[in-house]
Amino acid sequence: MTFTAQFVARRLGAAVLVLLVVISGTFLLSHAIPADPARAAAGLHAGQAQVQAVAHQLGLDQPLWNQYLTYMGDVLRGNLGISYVSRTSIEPQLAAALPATLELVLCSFLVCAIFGVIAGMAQAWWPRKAGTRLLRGTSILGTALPVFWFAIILQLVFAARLNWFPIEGRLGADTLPPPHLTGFYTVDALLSGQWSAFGDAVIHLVLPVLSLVAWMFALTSRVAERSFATELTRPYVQTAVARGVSSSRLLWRHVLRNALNPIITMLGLQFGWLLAGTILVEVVFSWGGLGSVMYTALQNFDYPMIEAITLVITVAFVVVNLVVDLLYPVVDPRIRRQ
Amino acid sequence: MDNHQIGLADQLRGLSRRQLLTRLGVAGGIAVAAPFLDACSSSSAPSGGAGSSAASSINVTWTNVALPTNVDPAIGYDSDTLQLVRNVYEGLLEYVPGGTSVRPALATSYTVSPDGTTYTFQLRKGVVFHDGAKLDADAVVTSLNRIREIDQGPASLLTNLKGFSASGPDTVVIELTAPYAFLPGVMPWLPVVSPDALKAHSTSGDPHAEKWFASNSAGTGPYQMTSFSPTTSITLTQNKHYWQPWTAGTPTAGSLTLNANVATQLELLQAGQVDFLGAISPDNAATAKTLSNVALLLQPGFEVQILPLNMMRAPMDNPKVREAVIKAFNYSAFKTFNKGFGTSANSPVPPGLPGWDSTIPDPAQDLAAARQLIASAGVPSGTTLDFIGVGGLDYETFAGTVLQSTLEPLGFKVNVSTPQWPIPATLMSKASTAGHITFLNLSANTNDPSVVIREAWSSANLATKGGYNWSNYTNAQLDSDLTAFGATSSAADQKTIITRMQQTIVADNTAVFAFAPQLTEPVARKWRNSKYDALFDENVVRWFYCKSAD
Repeated sequence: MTFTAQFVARRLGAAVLVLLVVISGTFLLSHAIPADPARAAAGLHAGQAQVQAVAHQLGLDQPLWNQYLTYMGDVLRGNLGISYVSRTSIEPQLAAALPATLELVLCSFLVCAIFGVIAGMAQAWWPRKAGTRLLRGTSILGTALPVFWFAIILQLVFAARLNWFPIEGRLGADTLPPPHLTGFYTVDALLSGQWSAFGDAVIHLVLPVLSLVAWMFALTSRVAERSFATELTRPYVQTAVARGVSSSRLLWRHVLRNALNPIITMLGLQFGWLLAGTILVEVVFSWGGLGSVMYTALQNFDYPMIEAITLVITVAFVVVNLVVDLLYPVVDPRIRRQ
Repeated sequence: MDNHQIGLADQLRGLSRRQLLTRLGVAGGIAVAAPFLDACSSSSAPSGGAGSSAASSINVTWTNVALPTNVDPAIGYDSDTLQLVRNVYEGLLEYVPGGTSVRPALATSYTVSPDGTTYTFQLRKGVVFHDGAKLDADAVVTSLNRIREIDQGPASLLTNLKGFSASGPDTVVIELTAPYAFLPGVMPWLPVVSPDALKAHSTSGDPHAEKWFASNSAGTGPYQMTSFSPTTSITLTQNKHYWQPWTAGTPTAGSLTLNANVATQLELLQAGQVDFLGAISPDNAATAKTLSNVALLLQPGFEVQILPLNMMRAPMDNPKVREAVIKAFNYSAFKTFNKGFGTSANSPVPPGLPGWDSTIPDPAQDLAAARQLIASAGVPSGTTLDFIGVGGLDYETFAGTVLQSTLEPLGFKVNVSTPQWPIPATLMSKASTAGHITFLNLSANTNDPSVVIREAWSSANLATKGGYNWSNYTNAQLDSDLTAFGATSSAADQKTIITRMQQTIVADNTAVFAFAPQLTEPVARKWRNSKYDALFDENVVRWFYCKSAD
C-alpha cells in the first residue's frame, strides 16, 4: 500500500470512529435531559392520554437501548427519522435548509480566509506600523464580541437605522427566488442570468457574513501573522533578500507556501466552528438555514432533528478536516517524503 | 347562564331597542332552537354570498419568533400554527373577533335536543374548499372523525363525545354521552378539511393524509396557502371563491415570517415592513407604545397567572403556610413588572370571561399577617421552598425573585429554578422532584369558564397523573361541580356552580393569583381597528376581519 493510500485509510478510519462517537454521544446526552419530548410534541394543552399516545407513536415509550438500536439502524440505512415537531421526514427539511447555511458559511469562510491571510501577512511584514496595529486591535476586539450581540448591533445600526442593508432574510420580499439548481441563491441567480436577484442575494449576505467573519477574523490573521513572522526569520528568506528577490515575489512565491500549513489546519477547524456558530447568526437574520432549524429543534426537544443536524455538522467537519489532512502533502513536499 | 345566552348577550350589546325586541322575539319563538342572528353589530353573523373580490390588493405581513412546522389543523394547536389555521380553515361556528361569543361560520344555525345530548347543525350552502370540493355533511363528518381519530391537538376539547353523523346533505348531528352546554364554543376549534384532498393523499399507512396536511392545506377559509417554508416564511393568498364578500380595506394576501428578535420585529413594524406581530412581552409593548407608526391594541387577555402551592410537599400541606405565602406575595411589584398591562387576578376564572366572580376581593400584600401565620404554623426558620418556573419566560423568573424577596425576610430560603419547557412538567409529575411553588398561565380556550378550573384543580388532572393540577388539590365537591356545570343549561344553576367553585378554590389557599395580563399587540397604525383572538392565549389575528384604516 502506498503512503497516500495508507494515509487516506487511517484518516477515513478515524473519521468513522469520530462519527460513531458523536452520534452515540448526542443520542445519549439528549435523552439524559429530564424532559418529556412527547409532552413537547403533543402541545401545551394535551391531556395525559394524548401525551402517552404521542409517546407511543414516536417510540418514546420504548426502553432507551431499544430506541438507540433503532436509531443507529435507521442512520446506517440513511434514514434520519421523523421530526417530533413537524411529524415529517427529516431529510427534506435538511435538504431545504442546508444550501442556505452552506452559502452563508462558505462566503464567510472565503472572506475570512482571504482577508485573514492577507492581514496576517501585512502584520508580519510591517509589524510596527500604525495601520497594522489598528488592524490587529480591531480584529481582536471582533473576537471578544459575542457573535449574537454583534449581529444584533449590525442589524440595528446598518439595517434598521441607516437602511444600508436589508434587515433579514436571504432575498427581499419583492425578489423571486431564482430557479433551484444548487440552492445557493447567488449561484442560482448567476446561472439563470437573474442579475437583480444576484445583487439582492449578495446584499443580503453582507451583514450575516460580517457577523461571522468578525468573530473568526482575528484568529485567522493572528495565526497567519505568527506563521509568516516565523518564516520571515528563516535563512532562505535572508538568502532571497540578499539575492535581490522582490518583496512581492518573496512573500507570494516563497514565504506563503511555507507558512500555509498551520493556516490550513486552523482554517479547517474554523469551518466546523462556522457551521456551529451560524446558529445564532441565522436566528438573528432569519436566515432559514440549518441554524434556524436547530434553534427550533432545541426549543422543542426535537431529538431526531437535533441529532440529524449534529450529524450533518460533524460529517462536514470531518470531511473538511480530511481534505485539510490530504492537502498537507500537496502543499508541503517534505510531508510526502516522510 | 347557558352558552348560547352568553353569546347572545354579546351579540345584543349595542343594538337599538327595536332591533333588540325584534331579535328577542325571534329567539323566544324558537324555544330550544338556537339559530344565529343577523345583525349589524360587530358580532353579527357573517353573511354568505359574494365571494368575488371587490377589494384592491392589500398584502400584509405577520412576523413572529416561531413559525408552524406542521400545519395540519388536527395536530397544530399552538398560537403559531393557529395563526395559519384560523386564516385558512373554518369550523361550523366561529368566535366573534376578540370576543367570547360564537356566531355562524360553515353552519348557519343549530338546535339542541331537550336532553342536551344532540346538537344538529344546518350547513351553509354553496361553500367550496380551496381545491374545488363542495362542503356537505359527509365532508364535515369525515373531517370531525379525522380530528377524533388522530386524537391530538383540538381533540382534547371533545368532551362527552358519542359520535358524528350526517342526517342529510346539509345536516350534521353531534351526539354526546352526557349534556355539555358549551359545545358550540368548541366548534370553532374543529376545522373542516377538504374531503377530496383527504381522499387523494391518504394511503393505507397514512389513512388521514397526515403527511400531506403537514405541509399543505385545503380548507374553506378566506386565504389559501401558496408556499410553505417553515424556516423563513409561509405565504397565503386570497380565496376568490370565499363565501363571504371581499370588501375594500381587507387584506387580500399575507405572509407569516420568522424573526427571532422582538426588537427587530418592532423596527420592522415602525419601518412599515410588517403589519402584525405574534406575542410580545410587557417591556416590548411599552416600547411599541412610543413608536409613531405603531398602534398598541389592548384587549382582555382571558388569562390569569398563578403560582400553585403544592400541597403534597411540607410545609405547603399546612393551610396557614399557604395563606402566609399568598399574603406575603408582592402583587404590586408584579403589576409594575407587567408595566400595568393587566389587572389583579382574584380567582381562577380570568376577568372578563363569562362566569367570572367579580365579588371576590383582589389579593393584597399583608406582611404582618403573613408573619403571624408562619409563627402560628410553627415552621422552623430556614425552611427551604423550591420554586420551579419555565425558562425563557421572564415573568416566571421574576415571580421567583418576588418570592425570594418577600419570603426570605419571613424565615424561608427560596430556591429558584427555571428549566426549559417541558422539564417543569416532568419535575412536577414526580413527588421526589416537584417544587413547593410553581407557575402556570391559565388561559381560557373556549367560553366555558370551568375549563381553567378543570385543568388546574380537578383531581383527574393531578400533577402526579401528568396533569396541570400542580397544587395537587383534591376536593370531591369541586369535581362534582365541574361535571354538573357543563351538564346544566340553566343560567342560574351555572352561575351558582361557577361562583361556588371559584370561592372554594380561593378559600382553600390553593395558589397565589398573581396577575391577569391584558392582550397587548402592536400593529401597524392602519390596522389599529383590528381585533386579536384572545381566547386560548393565542395572539392570533384573522386578517379577513381586519380593515385598513388608511
